[in-house]
Amino acid sequence: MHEASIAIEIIKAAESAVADRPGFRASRIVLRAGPLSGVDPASLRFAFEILAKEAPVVSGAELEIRDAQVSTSCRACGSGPFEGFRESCPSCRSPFLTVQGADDLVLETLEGDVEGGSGR
Amino acid sequence: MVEIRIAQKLRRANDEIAAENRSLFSKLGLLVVNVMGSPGSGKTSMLEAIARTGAGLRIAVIEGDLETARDAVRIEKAGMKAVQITTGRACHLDAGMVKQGLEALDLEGLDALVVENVGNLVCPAGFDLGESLRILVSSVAEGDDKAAKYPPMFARADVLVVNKIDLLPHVDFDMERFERDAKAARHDVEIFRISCKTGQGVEDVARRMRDARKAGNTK
Repeated sequence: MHEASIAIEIIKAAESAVADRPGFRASRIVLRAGPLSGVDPASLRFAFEILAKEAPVVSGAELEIRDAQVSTSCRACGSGPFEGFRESCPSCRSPFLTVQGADDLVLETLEGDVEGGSGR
Repeated sequence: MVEIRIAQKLRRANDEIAAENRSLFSKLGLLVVNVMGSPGSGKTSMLEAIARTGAGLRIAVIEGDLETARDAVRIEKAGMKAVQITTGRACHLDAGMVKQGLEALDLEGLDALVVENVGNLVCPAGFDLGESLRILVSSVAEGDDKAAKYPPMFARADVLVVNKIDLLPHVDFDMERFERDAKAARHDVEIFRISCKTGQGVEDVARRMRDARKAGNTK
């Protein structure tokens, strides 16, 4: 539902990350999204593709959306993190758990080259 | 090829304002409740019914809707202070809108601030407002498949209110199935069955809010 505003945030973050590299053109952008981040990958790619046309730094870049790793820790006995969602602590059976990563939405990396240069 | 690490959280703007809201609320010792649910599930009716119980809580309400101040008028008639936010076309409230709404409210002397979100079972789930308690109002008239079909919303609800139970004899609603699906989305959700029409169960929701206020329930 809000993929356009997220796409704008990605573009702005990418632009400011390469502000000190004039001529940089991104070819790939990697995003990490959790299962509860509320992001629909197809809508986000579509919004990004359209909006990126106005932004030379990211125009034409591929947007890769990776699943975030979800883990659960126990608030009662402190054990964990355990992989994935849990209903109760595998060690002490407590239902009081903290979930990490489920609503993550993180812009991880930009890949690309400086136009007219080797980039290195 | 150059790889640049960014590692930047997105939707940071909303989260930052939500954190500001939350620290203001906790300084004031104010319980802030985000009330969410479909249009017509009975969010406003539940608040009216809570006011009728003489909840022992001084409550103000921020009302979010696309158009009209009808809900704010209903809330004020029920004896609570209200601020209406009309979102135009936006389908949810965000932390910035709540912050703006606060300017029109005197928070001193209040026990609880209720933010009644825009009626919607999808979008409000993604926006932290700075609240300390999330109540999702669902009604038996909507059907018993909603928890299975809209899990992100149910995963974020601390409290699930099943409203309009006075209609149970007239609708095909399998309570067991609904509650099982709701618990699959969030296993520790607290479920209250109520009827705003008859008042059944409303006092239990009011008590839950009083307990949260006493506990200084902050996320």
